[in-house]
Amino acid sequence: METMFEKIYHQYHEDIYQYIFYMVKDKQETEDIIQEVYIRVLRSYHSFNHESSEKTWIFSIARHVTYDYFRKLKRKRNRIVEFFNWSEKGNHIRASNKTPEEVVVLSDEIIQMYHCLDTCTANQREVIILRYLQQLSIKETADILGWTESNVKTTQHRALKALEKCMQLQDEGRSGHNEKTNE
Amino acid sequence: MRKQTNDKSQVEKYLTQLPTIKDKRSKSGIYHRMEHQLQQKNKSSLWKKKRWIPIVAVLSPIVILFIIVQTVNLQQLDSNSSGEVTSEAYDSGEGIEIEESIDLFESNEIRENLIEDDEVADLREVTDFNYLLMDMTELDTTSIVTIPFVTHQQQTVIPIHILARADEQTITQLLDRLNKDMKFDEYGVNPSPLQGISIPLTNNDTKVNIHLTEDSKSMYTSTNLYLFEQALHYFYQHSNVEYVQIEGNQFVKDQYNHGTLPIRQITNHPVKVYRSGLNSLLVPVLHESFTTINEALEEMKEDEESFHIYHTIPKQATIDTNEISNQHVKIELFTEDITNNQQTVWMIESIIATAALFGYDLVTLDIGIDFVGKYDLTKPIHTKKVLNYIPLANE
Repeated sequence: METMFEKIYHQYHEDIYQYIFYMVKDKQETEDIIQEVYIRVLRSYHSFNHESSEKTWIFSIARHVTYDYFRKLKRKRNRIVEFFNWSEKGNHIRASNKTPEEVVVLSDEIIQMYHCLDTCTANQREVIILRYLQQLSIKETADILGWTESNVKTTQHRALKALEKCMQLQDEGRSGHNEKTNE
Repeated sequence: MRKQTNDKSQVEKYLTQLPTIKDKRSKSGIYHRMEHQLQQKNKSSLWKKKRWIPIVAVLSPIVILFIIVQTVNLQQLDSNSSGEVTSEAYDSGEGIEIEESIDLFESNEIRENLIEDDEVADLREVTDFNYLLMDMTELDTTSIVTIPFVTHQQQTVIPIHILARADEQTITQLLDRLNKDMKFDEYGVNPSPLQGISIPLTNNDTKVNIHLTEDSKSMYTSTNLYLFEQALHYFYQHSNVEYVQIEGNQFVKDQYNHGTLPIRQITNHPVKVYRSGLNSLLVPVLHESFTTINEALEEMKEDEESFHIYHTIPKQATIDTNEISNQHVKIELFTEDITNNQQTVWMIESIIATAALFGYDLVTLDIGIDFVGKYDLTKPIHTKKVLNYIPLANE
C-alpha cells in the first residue's frame, strides 16, 4: 500500500491539494479531505478500469469527497443559523477562513482575485481551478467533471463574468474611499 | 494607481498568477495519518459487525419470552365464557381513567401550568436571540473601548466594543488579554491592526503621536494601509482626538501630509451584517455613504458577498422615512417576511445603528408588529447603543 501511496503522492499530491484548497479555502479542511481522498483511492484502486486516465479518475474522487464535505458543511450551517433564508443565493460557497500567507504577500489585485473566487458557484469555481490553476484543457476538465465540453465553456464564461464584476466592484469601493481621503 | 478596467483577459491573467498553496506536512506524516485513519475505519466497521452478536443474543430470549406470554394470554381469553363481562371490565376500568384524564386536563390548575409554560417559552424566545447592540445604561460607559478588528479576508475593519479593566492603560495590554480570551475565528476576524503599537487607551488631547517602527512592513501595501487608517478612525471616534501624528516609519509617514492623519467622523453610512465566523457582527459600510437615511436603508437590502457583508433589510420591503425632528426619525417598513425572529432583531439593530450614524438620537419604527425580541416598537428607541459588544471571561 505504501508503494502505491508514494506513486500517487509524487504524481498528483500537489495538484489535488491545490484543487481542494481553492475549493474549500481552509488548510485544515484541505488536509482532512485529501486524507479521505487517499483512503478512497487506495481502497478502490484495484477496481479502477483504466477507461479514463488515472489523473481524471483521481480528480473525480477528489471532487466527490470535496462535495461530500460541502454537503456536511451545509447541514451543519443549517443547524447553526438560518439567518439568510430571506433570499437563498444558490449554491455559493462562503469561505470563512484566513487568507493564506502565500496570498497575503501578493499584489492587491491578486488578493482581490483570491477573495472574488468566493462569488463563484461551486461549479464555476472548480472550472476556474482546473482551467487556470491546473492549466487543464477543456477536454480534460470536461472528463474530470463528467460534463460536455460546451458545458465547461459556458460555465467558464459565466465564472469569468462573475469575477470581472467582483473585481470592478472592489475597485469602485477602493477608489471611492481614495477620493474621499483626497478631499 | 489601481487599474479600473478588469476585462476578461485581465481576469484570466490574475487567475494564472494565483499562488500554489503548499502542503507543509511531510509525505511520511501524511501516510501515517492516513494509515491510522484507515485502521480506525476498519476497526469501526468490524465493531459494527461484531456489535450485532450481543444484541441478537440479548434480544432472542426477550422475543421468545414475549411469544410465550402472548400465547398464555390468548389461551386465558379463549377459556373465558362471557364476552360481556370482559367488555364491562374494560368500561369500568380504563374508561374511567380516560375520563379522569379529560377532567384533569380541563382543570384550572393544568390550564395555569400551560399558560406559565407559554410565558416561559416566550421569555426563552426573547433571551435566545443574539443581540449585537447593547444599551449604554447596562454598561460602565467610561470603561468601554472601541477595538477595531480586520475581517479574515483582510478587507474590512469592524469595530468591536469591550470593557477595559482598571489596570489596562494601553491598547497593547488590552489586546494581549483579548488574544487570550477572545475566539477570533468564531467572529471571523483577525487580531487588530493596532496590535503591537503603543497607544494609550485614554487621551484628552486633540492630537496624538503614534510611533511605528521601521520594520512595520505589513503596512507597505495599500490595502493594509487602508485598514490601519480605518482602525485609527474607529479607535478615536468617540474621543477628542482630531489628528494622529505618525512617527518612526518613514514609508507610512510619507503617505500623509507631514505624517498627519486627520481623524474622520464616521457618519452617514449604512450598517449591514458581516458573517464569516459562527457569530455575526454589525458593520458600518464605509465605502458607501449617503445624504439621507432613506438612501442608506435602501442600500441595506443589498449583499456584498465578496466582502462577506450581507443585507439586513428584506429586498422586497417598502421603506418610508419621516424626520420628526433633527434628533428623531420615524421609519415605516413593510414586507410580508417580518416576524418575531432573529433576522428581524438584526434588521432593527442595523436600522438603529444606521440612524445613529445619521445623527438621530431617537428612532420610531413601524414594521407591522409591536414587539420583536427585547425591542418594544410602540415607543421611540434611543440610538445611543454600543455596537458589537463582546463580554469576555470574568466580566
